[in-house]
Amino acid sequence: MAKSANVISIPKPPKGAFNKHRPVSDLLWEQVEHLAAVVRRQIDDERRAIRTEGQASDFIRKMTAILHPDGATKKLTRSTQGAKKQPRSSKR
Amino acid sequence: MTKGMDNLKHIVVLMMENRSFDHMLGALMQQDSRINGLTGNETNPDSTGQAIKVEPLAAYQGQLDPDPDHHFPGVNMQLFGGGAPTSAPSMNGFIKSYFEQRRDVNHSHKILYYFPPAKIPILTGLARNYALFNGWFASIPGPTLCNRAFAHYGTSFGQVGMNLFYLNVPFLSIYERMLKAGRTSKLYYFDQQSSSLEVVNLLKNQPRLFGLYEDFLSDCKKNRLPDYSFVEPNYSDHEDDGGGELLASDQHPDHHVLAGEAFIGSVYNAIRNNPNLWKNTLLLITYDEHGGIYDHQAPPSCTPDGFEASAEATGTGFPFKFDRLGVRVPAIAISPWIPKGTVIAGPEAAGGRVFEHASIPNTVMKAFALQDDNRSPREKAADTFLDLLSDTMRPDGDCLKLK
Repeated sequence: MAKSANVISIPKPPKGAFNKHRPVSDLLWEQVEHLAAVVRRQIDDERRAIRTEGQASDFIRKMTAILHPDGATKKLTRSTQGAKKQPRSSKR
Repeated sequence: MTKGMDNLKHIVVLMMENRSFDHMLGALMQQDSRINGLTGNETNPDSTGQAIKVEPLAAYQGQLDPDPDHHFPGVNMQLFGGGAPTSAPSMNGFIKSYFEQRRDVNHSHKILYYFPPAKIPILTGLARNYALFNGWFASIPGPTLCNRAFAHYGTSFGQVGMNLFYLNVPFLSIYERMLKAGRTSKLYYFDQQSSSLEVVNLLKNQPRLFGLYEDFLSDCKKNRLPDYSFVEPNYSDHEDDGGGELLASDQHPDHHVLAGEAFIGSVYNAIRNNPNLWKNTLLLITYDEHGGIYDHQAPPSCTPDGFEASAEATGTGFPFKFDRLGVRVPAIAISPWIPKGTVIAGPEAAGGRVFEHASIPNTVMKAFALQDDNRSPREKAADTFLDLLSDTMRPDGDCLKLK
């Protein structure tokens, strides 16, 4: 009996407690603002640091992925690689 | 130096959201008169002038909606009843402040409701089994972010609101100080949808300081817990990648209080269930601020931290010199080296001790013998809690189990 007095069951909230449509609180709104400001600053820092074509394309990829996330998950295909080779063969 | 202090290897802090001491733990005074809680006769006047008593009617959800005011001017009203902040706080403006949110007299009384212990068995169970602080206060009579800053930096750099653009600040965060000293430290946030509060500057500049809650659980299991960890609960109801419902677990009104109970239990169990960790870890559970909810204990004065917020910044017509604390919040220190039922007397008792969030970095500094002197005067003056660790480790069967 003494042992069971030292054990507490963790209560569970009811399923109906979930509400992702609850209006955003001041706290979450500030978190949104703060994250947005830091990311804006980071983007600016990265943009200013670009010196090479490679760095520019990395940055462009990152920004494009934000705007078009589906495109970011796709890998180069044989056909796109083939298309890259095209200019070399045209020089021959 | 006690054996408990000698054995200490890890400190973990879990900071919840927006609940006052009396609201969560005040009823425990009925079980133990050493606890500075509620007699049941405390009152606040409502907007009609009637004296309204505290009542054990707090609900898990749906009661404190809209969110009670906890910005600096609102807390000023709660502490001083609308008067000037020039004398000792009367603690009689809580109902008046909440009335302003909805202008509903009956609804405004709910700000005085508190939980019977059986409704929140995890928090109250831990409080009765380990060390309960009668005198742990929010660092500022204001909102979340400036208060959390004291836990991270030992100051809010003069901020009394939600502005957090701490650029070129004179003091390092406690996490950076730990790394500088060759120690390990991590902030664990719940997931990317919940993210971290207020320290996103660090997230940008020091991403290695951060992990997810699942990393915390894994690090506990695999004996990889850093020397100092700070755990953040889930701040929003959202879905996981599989469409599963994740409840906010921070207990911020109007999030379900039992989701927070479950989260507290999960953090405790992650440490408790690993014998290698349990014997050498000190866990502190506290709340960032009171969230506008009633507490009867007037906050004491404190060492100023060298900053000043203007009358315009406070919104009260008075400047603030960071020379008094915010409203009292729950705080519990947990370790097998802490005698069961420890109650640390607060300002209600002669010789009682006062803690606040700047006590956290100061305790971590002391625990790991960090020497950085470039810290706020407030942090340096803050009381520390390592002395709660005794010479005797309690047997496993004596320590609370959560299932």
